[in-house]
Amino acid sequence: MRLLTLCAQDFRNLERVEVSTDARFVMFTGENAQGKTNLLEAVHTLAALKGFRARRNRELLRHGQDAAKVSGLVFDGESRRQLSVELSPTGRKGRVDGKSPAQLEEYFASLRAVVFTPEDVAIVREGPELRRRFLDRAAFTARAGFLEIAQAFRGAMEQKSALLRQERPDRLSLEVFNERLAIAGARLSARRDRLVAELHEPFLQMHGAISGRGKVGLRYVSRLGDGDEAARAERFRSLLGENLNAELERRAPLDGPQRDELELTLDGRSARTWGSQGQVRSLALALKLAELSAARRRGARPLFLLDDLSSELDRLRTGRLVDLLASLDLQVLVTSTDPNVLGDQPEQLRYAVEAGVPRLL
Amino acid sequence: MDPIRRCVTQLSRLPGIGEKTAQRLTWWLLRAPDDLVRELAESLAELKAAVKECSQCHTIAAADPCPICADARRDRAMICVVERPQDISAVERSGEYHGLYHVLHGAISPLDGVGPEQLRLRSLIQRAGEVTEVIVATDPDVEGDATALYIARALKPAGVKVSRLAHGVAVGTEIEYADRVSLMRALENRRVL
Repeated sequence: MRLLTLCAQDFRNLERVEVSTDARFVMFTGENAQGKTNLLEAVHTLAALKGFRARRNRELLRHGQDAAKVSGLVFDGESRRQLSVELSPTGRKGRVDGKSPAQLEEYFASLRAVVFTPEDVAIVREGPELRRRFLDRAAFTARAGFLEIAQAFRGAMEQKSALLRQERPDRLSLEVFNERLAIAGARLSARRDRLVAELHEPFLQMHGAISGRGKVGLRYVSRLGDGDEAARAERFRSLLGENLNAELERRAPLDGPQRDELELTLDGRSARTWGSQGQVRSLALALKLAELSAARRRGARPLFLLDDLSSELDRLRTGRLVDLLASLDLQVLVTSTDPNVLGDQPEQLRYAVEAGVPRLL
Repeated sequence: MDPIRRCVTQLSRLPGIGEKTAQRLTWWLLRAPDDLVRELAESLAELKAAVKECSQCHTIAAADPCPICADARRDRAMICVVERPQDISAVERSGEYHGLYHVLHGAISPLDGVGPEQLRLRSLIQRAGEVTEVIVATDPDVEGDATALYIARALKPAGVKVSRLAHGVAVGTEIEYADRVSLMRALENRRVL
């Protein structure tokens, strides 16, 4: 999959930008706070209908504007499609060739992207919540249908939480939401487990290629055990049964896949606690590259968005990473303060970004 | 209050209509023929006065009992449970169902403060004693699924058969072109042949 062009209008500090991105490597360079990452975030918005830094749409709109638009021409090896996203403070609207798709999935099938930013070291370093989020995101990259599985679980959790907050929760309603939760949670847990199995090998491979040192491990540890979906549902039912009174007392859901962990180890020890800064960076990057690989094995061809390349790794690892990316058949969009960070890779388009305006180098 | 201002304010309270649209509609009405506006006003006034909730199935109709509940040819051993009155017409269009209906007026959603008490559930439990099958046709989402399960559990003591409307691939859709969400649903609801 290749993004051929990118247009952004009133998107963050980009007033009106139109650039060609028809190359294996597209590089946005320049000083900090000029808008390099905004260009990357525009691509991400085009692929995922949301930014990777902004929590709210409003943050994606240029100061004082109440609408923004990002569009781009995508080539999937056979045909070209024009994707566009219109953003308002409260809404987003994606179109494929000018038409709104009946299902969001259809939109997402047209363009996928995996992003890696300096902040992603938090996936390894911080609490399990971020690792679960990474997994759900990776499952979505591989298969947009995962969205419904994650939403079914979240929906049942939200309803149950609201019910438990009530003065006197209706017992039969609680029973019913617990049952829905057991089914949705078992499915979520089984899918995440399967995904981790798919991520495992590329994760080891990618980590070996960028770091070359240390024996790494990746394992999904679910509160629902490691059986099949039916066994997990059964396990969840009994957990919910055991915790019923405690949940009523605490007025909040207690145990379940919302407490599952993606365990990352380095030479047998927890990477979260023991990993050095450099090791943690390599692990986070290997996770993202594994996400990319797993998606490719399922037939998707995501773009790779790499924010702030030079600050991420030392020179040796940067060189290895660029070689690794060049060996994979994929389009990479990079930002860096160093215009020569990609070395002499052929097929690169370089833009210098200043005050929200990219200029071809 | 200024009559123009009043009309704009009232119209902008309708769903999907903002201040601007309300103004445009008001000015359109001001220029429209007198009988058109009078007819619109009368139909609005009549809407609330002449339409009521059916005391049996709780749909909204001009008569109580509603035409379906009053129809002697309907199969009185079956009840199809729906969330909204407008869902009845969707099931009716299938032409395959000849039983009675029951409108819940919503689905269980603690987030929106809707519990079993806010729905027409108690009368459903009463009615279920007189039928052999209850088909639950609530929406295929978290709230609809939970409501369906709630009904199944609540009707258990009555010993009535409770079934859930199957959801999945639309008829006439070739599997190849079915969207993944529908296909997933269909797999989930697969039947032994």
